[in-house]
Amino acid sequence: MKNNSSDFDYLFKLLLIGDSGVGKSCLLLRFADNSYNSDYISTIGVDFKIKTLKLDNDKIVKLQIWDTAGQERFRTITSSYYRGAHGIIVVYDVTDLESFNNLNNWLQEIDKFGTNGVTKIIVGNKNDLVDKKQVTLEMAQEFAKEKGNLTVLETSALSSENVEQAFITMAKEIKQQMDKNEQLNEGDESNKIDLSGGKSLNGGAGVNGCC
Amino acid sequence: MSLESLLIINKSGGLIYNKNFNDNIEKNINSNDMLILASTLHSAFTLTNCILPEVLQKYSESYNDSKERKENEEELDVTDSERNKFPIKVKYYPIGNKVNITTNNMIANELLRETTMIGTELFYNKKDIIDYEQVSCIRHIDSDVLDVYFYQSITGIKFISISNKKENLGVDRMTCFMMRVYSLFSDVVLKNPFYSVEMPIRKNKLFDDKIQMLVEMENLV
Amino acid sequence: MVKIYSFWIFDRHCNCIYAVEFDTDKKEIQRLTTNSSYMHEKAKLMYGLIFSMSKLTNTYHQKSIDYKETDELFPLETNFKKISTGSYSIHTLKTKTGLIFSLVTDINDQDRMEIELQYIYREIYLKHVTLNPFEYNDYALSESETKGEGFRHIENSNFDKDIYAFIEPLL
Repeated sequence: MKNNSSDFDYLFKLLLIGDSGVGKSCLLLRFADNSYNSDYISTIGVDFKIKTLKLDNDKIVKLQIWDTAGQERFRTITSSYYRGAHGIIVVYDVTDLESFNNLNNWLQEIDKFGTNGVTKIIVGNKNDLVDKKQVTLEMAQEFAKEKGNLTVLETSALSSENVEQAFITMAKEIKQQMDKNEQLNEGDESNKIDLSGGKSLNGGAGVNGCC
Repeated sequence: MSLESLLIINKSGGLIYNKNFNDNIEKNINSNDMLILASTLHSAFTLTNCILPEVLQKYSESYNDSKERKENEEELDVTDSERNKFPIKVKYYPIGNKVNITTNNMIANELLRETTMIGTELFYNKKDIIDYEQVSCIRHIDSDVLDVYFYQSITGIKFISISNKKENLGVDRMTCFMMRVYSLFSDVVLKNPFYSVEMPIRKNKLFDDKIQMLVEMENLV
Repeated sequence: MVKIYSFWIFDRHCNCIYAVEFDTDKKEIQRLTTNSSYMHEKAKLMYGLIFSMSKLTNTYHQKSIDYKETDELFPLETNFKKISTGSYSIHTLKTKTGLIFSLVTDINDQDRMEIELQYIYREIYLKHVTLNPFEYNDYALSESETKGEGFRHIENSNFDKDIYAFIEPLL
């Protein structure tokens, strides 16, 4: 009797959102551990990709990427997957202005359903189609700056290089955020229980007179 | 050998613990596949909430209308009290086989103390467990060859046991078993100061041993 | 005694071809018509749930008995019977022709509903649909209507009547 209880230290939940047809799933095809296509996405509105990374301190992190369906009919379901996500990747198509304009809706949705302070990045996909490009990097960067200095990346399914970098950066950021939160809790005065006892114990009338 | 795997899933759908009792599973399913399996089961919960029959919709706790809640908060009270009209009764099964517990086995003794479930609100007249929180949660999936049992805690942690058909275990018995796992989880894992919440349970030998012991005591393997 | 909330039929192209939902208090009926988007959405989700859960249990079982995929004519396939939640259960019957009959009932652990589903298939569906020359042989007429994109469904008042007569005492 053995057990293969988790062989990794951290599990981060990342969410991939964006209009249907921007190539969300293709984006991950080379990056993820499991490249085969499971067809859950068309039935339950979500598919899962997993990437194992090793951070600097030899901690093994598994990124579980929830690849959601962009179709409208899954909207109510996908919005419930925002819960507990550590990072959210919003994808648009550089050859499709409409999908870029819709970014705003997606970001609003994140505000509505996601956890506060979740790490977000914006990814412009299909960057290899240079002659059809409608959204320039400058436009996207300006937009991202407005929305609180989000990272913008342009990728294509042909070159997976940028993608890999994006995810590693994201994992590190999440890890830092987590460590920061933990320290914050320890250092926060209001969270401490005052064991030295205040006035109420020493000077309180009925306290000492128990017998 | 009827229990094959035990999974614990955190509230955002990530697998945080799994233990397999079948060597083939160990050999054929790697940890990535297990993560996918767990998250798929998690999303099935969302689906069952979406396809709730009209008649039952007023009882449902909504997973996905956080926006609507903010807007009509007064109505929330109504639905909350309505929801409580849909209790689920589970027959209480005492912990299985006590024969193999010797008095000097410390873990076993601790285990018995920790998992009596006395003091839980759900424990009612020592025969039944009454639970209100499970309206749209899946409790049992039945197929030709497998039984999958679910138990969801109030905080949203899901316990899942997958068993084969060699023995008919029944939903009630497995719910009791998973409630015991839940109380072990809160005692051994959550009270560990080095454990970060929502993250995988790793290198916690005590928890592992206790689960193994519990499963043996319940005669599930 | 079980209460029935709704009844669904899916064909082998993942399309829902018949659906009817009952209101237990007023016995009102909500059914699948060409422009009822509510039922269409719900049918897709229902099919998604049944499909993904049966696929999941099947894969898990194959792994657990160390089954190797071969070129056998009849690969190992397991049948999926029931999902029960805290307030309702979905019972399914999958026929060899790929049809899925599904009844949504309240929770009642003893009742299996297999006999009821078999009856609907054998006595009602066969009589009014399969043996009826005026019904479609296949509800997806072209390639584009497969994979859940179809819109045709059973519109047969005799079938409705028989289904209702069979289900009514169970409501």
